[in-house]
Amino acid sequence: MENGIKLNKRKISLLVALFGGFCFVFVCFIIFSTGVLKGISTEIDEERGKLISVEIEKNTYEGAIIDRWGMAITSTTQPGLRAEAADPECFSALIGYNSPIYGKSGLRSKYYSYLFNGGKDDRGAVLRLTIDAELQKKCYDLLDGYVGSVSVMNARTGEILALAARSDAEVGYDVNRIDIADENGKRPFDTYNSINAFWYNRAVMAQDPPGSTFKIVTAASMIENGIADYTFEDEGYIEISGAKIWNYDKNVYGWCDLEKALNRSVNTYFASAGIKLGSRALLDTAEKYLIGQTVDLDFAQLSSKIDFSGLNNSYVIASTAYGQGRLVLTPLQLCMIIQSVMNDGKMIRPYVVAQITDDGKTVYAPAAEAPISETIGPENNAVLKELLHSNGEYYGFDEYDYGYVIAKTGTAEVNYGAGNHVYLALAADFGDNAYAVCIDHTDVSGATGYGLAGDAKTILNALRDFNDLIPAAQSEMG
Amino acid sequence: MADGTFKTVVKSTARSLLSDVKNEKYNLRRAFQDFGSDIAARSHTVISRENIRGLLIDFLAVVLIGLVVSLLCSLKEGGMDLYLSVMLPFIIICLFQFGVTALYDSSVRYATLTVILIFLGASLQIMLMLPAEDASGAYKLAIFAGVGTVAGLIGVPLLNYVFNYMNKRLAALLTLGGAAFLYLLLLVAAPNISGTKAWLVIGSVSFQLTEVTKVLAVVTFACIYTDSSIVPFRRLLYAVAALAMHGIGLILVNELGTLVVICIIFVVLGAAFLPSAKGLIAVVLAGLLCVAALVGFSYQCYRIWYAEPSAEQTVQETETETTVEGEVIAAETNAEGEPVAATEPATEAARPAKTHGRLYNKVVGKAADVFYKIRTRLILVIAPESLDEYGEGYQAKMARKAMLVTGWLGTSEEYEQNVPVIESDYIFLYVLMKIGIIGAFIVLAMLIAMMMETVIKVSVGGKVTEAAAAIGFICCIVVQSIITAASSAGLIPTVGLTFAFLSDGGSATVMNYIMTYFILFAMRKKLPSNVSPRPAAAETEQRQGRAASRGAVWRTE
Repeated sequence: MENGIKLNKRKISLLVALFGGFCFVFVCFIIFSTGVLKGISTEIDEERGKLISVEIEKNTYEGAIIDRWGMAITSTTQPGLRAEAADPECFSALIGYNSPIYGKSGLRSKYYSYLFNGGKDDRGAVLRLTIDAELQKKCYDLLDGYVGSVSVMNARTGEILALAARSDAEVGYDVNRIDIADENGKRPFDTYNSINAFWYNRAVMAQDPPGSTFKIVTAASMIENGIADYTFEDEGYIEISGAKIWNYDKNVYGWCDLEKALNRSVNTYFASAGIKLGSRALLDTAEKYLIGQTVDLDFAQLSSKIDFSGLNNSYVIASTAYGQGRLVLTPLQLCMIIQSVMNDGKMIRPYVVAQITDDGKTVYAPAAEAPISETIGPENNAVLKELLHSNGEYYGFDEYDYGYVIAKTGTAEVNYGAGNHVYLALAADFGDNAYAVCIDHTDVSGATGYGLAGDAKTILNALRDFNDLIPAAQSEMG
Repeated sequence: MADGTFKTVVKSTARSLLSDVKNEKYNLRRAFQDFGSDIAARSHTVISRENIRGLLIDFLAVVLIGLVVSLLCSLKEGGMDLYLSVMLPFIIICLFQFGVTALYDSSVRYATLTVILIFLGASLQIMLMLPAEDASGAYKLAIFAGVGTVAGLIGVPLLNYVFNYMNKRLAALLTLGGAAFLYLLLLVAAPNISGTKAWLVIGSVSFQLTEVTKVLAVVTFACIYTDSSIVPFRRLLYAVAALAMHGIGLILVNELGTLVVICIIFVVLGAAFLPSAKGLIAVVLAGLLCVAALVGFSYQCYRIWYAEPSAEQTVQETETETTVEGEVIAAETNAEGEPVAATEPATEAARPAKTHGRLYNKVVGKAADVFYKIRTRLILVIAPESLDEYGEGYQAKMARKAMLVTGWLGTSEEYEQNVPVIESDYIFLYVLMKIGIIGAFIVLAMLIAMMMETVIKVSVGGKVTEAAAAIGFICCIVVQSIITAASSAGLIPTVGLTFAFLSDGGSATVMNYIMTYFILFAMRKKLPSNVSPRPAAAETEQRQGRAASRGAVWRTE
């Protein structure tokens, strides 16, 4: 070059190389931050997946949720807008919400990839449930003014026919309006959030002491361990390890055998039987009913607890044997227990999703499954079933009107002022089909499980109508 | 005595400058004469059978590329008639470019890369305009490209004169003075648009004068760094002074992005043309210290400015309501009835008036402004979620979404995001959306190839100032584009610059064409030995003789 001034090629090459290095870093940054190569950053993969799902959702008609007969539970007419539930309060606890602000819950969260995946027609898949919408509505109406749940299932197949729940006696759960602000700017979601345990679907998540309904398990354990003929002279209370266990209302029943003790729900009999059985035997039988284990369902997970810490603690064993103690179950699990008794000891896994179809094709159907537990076996179960049938008759479930009914009530006293938990677990055999029902209330009025008999009769009548439909519907549906 | 010496120096400098100015008319005439002769001689060599054939093939290729691009884009997006009607002028413009490349016997590679970018830019802008079914923006593009071509054709002989004939000291002073004048004009007459005063608005037309000052900065640095009459240390000092002038001007008009580019050009040309890097490194380090000091100062100003209550704020506080229980309700509530905490105003206009003197307000306010801008841009990169996602953070949020939904070959139509200012600052995101990550990499690779081609070709030529200018211009084009791309992708803070040939922008487009034509000129091959321009030798000797008697400094080759 000229006049002694030269272009310093080495330095300029270095600068170009530095610049090239920056470009390389930039290229790597693009690959990293766009997430096109999966696995480099889980955070970005998740963010990308979420965003793409949101974008897909904007252009997709949310898939409909229908009942077993094809009646719409939710439906939508525009892409990107949430499907509206036809009877939101009745179904909200099961289907869950779909909100651009709060996300998704319930079935809409669990089956998101089906409901919000457009497919060829920009419509999400259709979720056909095992639920009977009419039955569901009847069950929900029975909960009016109560916190509680009603679970109804087919005792032979495990189909859940109704799963109604209320978390508040006055505030109804409406998923259609969950994020719509009122004139003061308050959204229903905020109200729901302020209510204790509002989001719990009580049927599947409320873990509470089952009260006297656990006597089914204690009775099963007695039969299994050969002390079904145990008798006891009741004086209204029993003293164990210095503490007294009383019968409900401090009633005195005198001489009791297993049948009488079940009919009258004699706490002292079962407390004493529990001591006789011992914690190991009781625990073994409880495990056969999947108590203390996690049960995976197609829409939830059931958990329960039974705790005999300090196995020589007689008071704990005695309390647990009659339904208090360190023992919590969900209402649906109680329903499964009574279902297994009705089904010759075979416990079936309940399910609520019957079929998922998309673009005219079935993309999901539940596979046939063997019973998840044989419990105490058919012979022992037959004895237990007969005992519980005498309970059913004792409660007024006439066989002529209601079929072969087995039942057990329960009242768990709660000592933190929240009222009693009252239960009625029953199952009815109509000959061609059998059904299991569990009704639970959180009641502050001092009522007992016996008070639920009226509701149970309403449900059984509805089930009879339902049962009459089934052969016809099955032949239609082919 | 000292006064006398100072006066003498000033007088002799002024006399020398005056004589330089007087001599320039001869330089100017000679420059244009030589340029004309050179072009004429080149025209003869171009019009030969092989060259014509080659030229025709290039022309055909350009037309084909333009038509194919139009077809492909309109197949996907529709609007075939719009594409063709806009692409036609671009085809002509690109033909011009190839014609000039052939005339200068310059780099076909560089011309091809530029043409591809031009077509790509036009297609992207048309795609952006299609949904609105408004063709006026697309025609505006073609008009600016045309103006740029004409400006480039006129600008080349002018720049040739500046770099190859003009007294370098004079050239540097004139361009620096020109830039200072433009900054002053902007400061006085430019409206505040999006927080900067970079545009001069005349009627319905706006000119982004900082694009012109950027080119002037390149010319200044090129002349200073290659002025052999000054020792290297002085060249560095003069360059620093020029940089400081540009720095002050750009800070005052709030165009920090352009300042970043000018700083890079300062460093690149200094590294390329100074014999030793030590001085440059020292300057860079000192510069960084100055920047740190300035940032510290502006941070303090920022704290002072937003900590002091204004007269208006005091009035607001006394106007709060109280409930029956005596609880104070804030004067401002949002749409949901929730009280709004005091927030920093986003724009200068929203800032409360301060109660100090005018100079204090101007200095402290300005420094606080600068810090606020830098801070916001840094937060956008580091923690965008902390900003209001429907306010300052909206663009960053949408840009992030656009990045996440793109793929190797582009984004599905249903996932496309609506990013604000995507036609300009964020055009690179649109490239990612439309032609995917692979396409974006190809664009980056093309830019790097353009840079390397320029550096390689000009480094073997004989004209050092031309080479410096060409390197400076290619930095403006390539480095600025990649900085823009990196900032829109979120790698570095936003700088508010444009992407060469892809972004929508009138002034930037025109300046890019001028720079491109000059780069092509700088990469020209020497004429074959059997061909020479018509000499102006006799006239030249006369001039030199007269000039020698006046003591003028002539540039020789």
